[in-house]
Amino acid sequence: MIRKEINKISEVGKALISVEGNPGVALNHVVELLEADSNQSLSFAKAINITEDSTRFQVFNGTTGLSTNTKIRMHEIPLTAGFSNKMLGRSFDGAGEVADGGPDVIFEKEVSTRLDTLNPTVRNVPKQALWTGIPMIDVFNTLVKSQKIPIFAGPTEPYNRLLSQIAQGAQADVIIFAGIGLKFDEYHYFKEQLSQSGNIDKTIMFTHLAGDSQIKGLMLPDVALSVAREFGDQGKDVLVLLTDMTNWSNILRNVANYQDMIPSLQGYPGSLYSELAKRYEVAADIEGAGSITIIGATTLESLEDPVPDNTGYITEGQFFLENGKLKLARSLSRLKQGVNGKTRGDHRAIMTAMASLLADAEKAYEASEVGAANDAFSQKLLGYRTDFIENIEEPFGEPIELEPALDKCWAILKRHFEPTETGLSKKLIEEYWDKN
Amino acid sequence: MLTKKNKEMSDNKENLEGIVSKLKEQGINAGEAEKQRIVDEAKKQAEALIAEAEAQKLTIIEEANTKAEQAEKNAQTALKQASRDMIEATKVAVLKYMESIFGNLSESLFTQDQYLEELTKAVVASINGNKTVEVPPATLKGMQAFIIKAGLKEEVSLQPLANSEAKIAVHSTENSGVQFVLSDSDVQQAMFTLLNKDLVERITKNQEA
Repeated sequence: MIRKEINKISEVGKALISVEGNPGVALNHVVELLEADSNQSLSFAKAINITEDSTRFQVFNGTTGLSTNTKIRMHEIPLTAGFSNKMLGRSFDGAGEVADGGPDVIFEKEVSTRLDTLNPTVRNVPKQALWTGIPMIDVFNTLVKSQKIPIFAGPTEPYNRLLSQIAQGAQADVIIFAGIGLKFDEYHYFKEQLSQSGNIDKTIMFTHLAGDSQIKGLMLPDVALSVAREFGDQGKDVLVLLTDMTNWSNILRNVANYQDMIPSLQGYPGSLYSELAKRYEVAADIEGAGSITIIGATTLESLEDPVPDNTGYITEGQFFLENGKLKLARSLSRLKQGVNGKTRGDHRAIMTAMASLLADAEKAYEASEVGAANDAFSQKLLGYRTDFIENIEEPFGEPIELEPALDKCWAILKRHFEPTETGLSKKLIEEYWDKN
Repeated sequence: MLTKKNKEMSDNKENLEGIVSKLKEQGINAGEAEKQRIVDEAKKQAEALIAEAEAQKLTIIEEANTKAEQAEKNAQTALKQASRDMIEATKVAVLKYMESIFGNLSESLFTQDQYLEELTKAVVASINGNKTVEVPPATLKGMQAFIIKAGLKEEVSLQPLANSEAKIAVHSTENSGVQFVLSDSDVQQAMFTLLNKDLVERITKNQEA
């Protein structure tokens, strides 16, 4: 193959390089950067901006060591990601290269990383539950295959541990873990947990460590989601875990600033919404094929921050992690109504009754803070609240299936209330009260 | 008087003895009852403890079994993955080795400069008048195949050992150029003759499982 080479880099910036005019590349095409004298490959770059005067490239490995003498070799192909079933159990970096020190993988095919919009006519209405083994999700905010949902959490919350817990209990065919800006111990923790739970052979990890080049972090969700889409096309139910999308948005902000784009709120580019949506919209239940479900951890200081704010408009609800607990009052799965009516007869009723009692309990708790709430029922509510937080809002531990989780809910109600105080129907009480 | 006193004393003594013996009896009875109660209670407690221990024993055994099963499953998975990766690594190593041989050969035969200087010049020189040269991709592929073939006339085969039957053969044909077709079992057969037989058995068994 004859490949054109040029030698006229006009500007080397942070993570980006510019070339005068257009050397003959199209958007998203890959070029290779070579040492001028030895022809040694230094890095790859992707064309991101083409005007009449100049062409801009994102350099995958950072621009350190590049000069205006560096050669650019055109590959005349868009950026693709390698795909193979043998990727299961392995770790890759943001460019799809092996990153676990193991042997290279011979890819079966190359898949486009453009994340083209899926034809809406092949999207199925989401109607199959994706069980996670976490009662707070399965009973109260059921996750649905093809749902896109974030985990909102403060930066110090154990959101990565929660993702790992979901990965261990999730009943999906393939789990794709995409970590952006991870610390090494977090990466190691995921790997260790997945190996111990026996799920490593259905997991592919794409990891970008905090010290890696920014561009690799920026590309990582695209590569991971492209691979996920290919598995989805092959009929697999894929669960994609993205963490942390705030880190990703921060890289997006940095790169936008390097390009002198006009900053919007808090310096993020004006395209933040559409950039996030492009990734989250990959979630789909595809007709005649599998499904892709996305859970993205989003760290936040405040819900008004641009990243969680925009994310909230794209996704279908959110899980809220606070003080290490999944909070019922702040979490919502917008698609749960489509699936929780087809499970055990008491599912919806117990979900509503417990949520309603918890709301009353919160009021009683507020009253108790100022010395009120001394009546017997308030005391019952307070006991129930403590029990609920300890046993239901706690997301960590052995995964529990739906029916034992529902039984656990009945047991909690029975510990604190008389049947008539629960607001549950006589029929359900007769059927389940004495069983637990 | 004295006799009366003596009698009274004797009565008192009897009374006292009676009281003492009565007290003794009561005390012993109470003690016995207390002893019995304590023994019964201890028995009950012991039974409860034993029952609890039995239940715990079962739970502990069950948990240990589950953990052992999981650990065994994990080990199987790890072995399966390791063997898959080993085969993959072998394939990559073989491919890289071949690339290092044939890649260099074809690069030195077919560079951009040579193409421009030699082939284009020759073709263009043979045409009179205004000239435009366009090479369609298919022709380009053909030219490439031809040149590679020129440098690789005979079949090349790799054998792990001089006398082993398993080998990897590479043909060059005009249509397909150089192809390295290696299946898992080809590589296994070729490479495993060099490895420990027990390990080979384990790995192949695992792959089938």
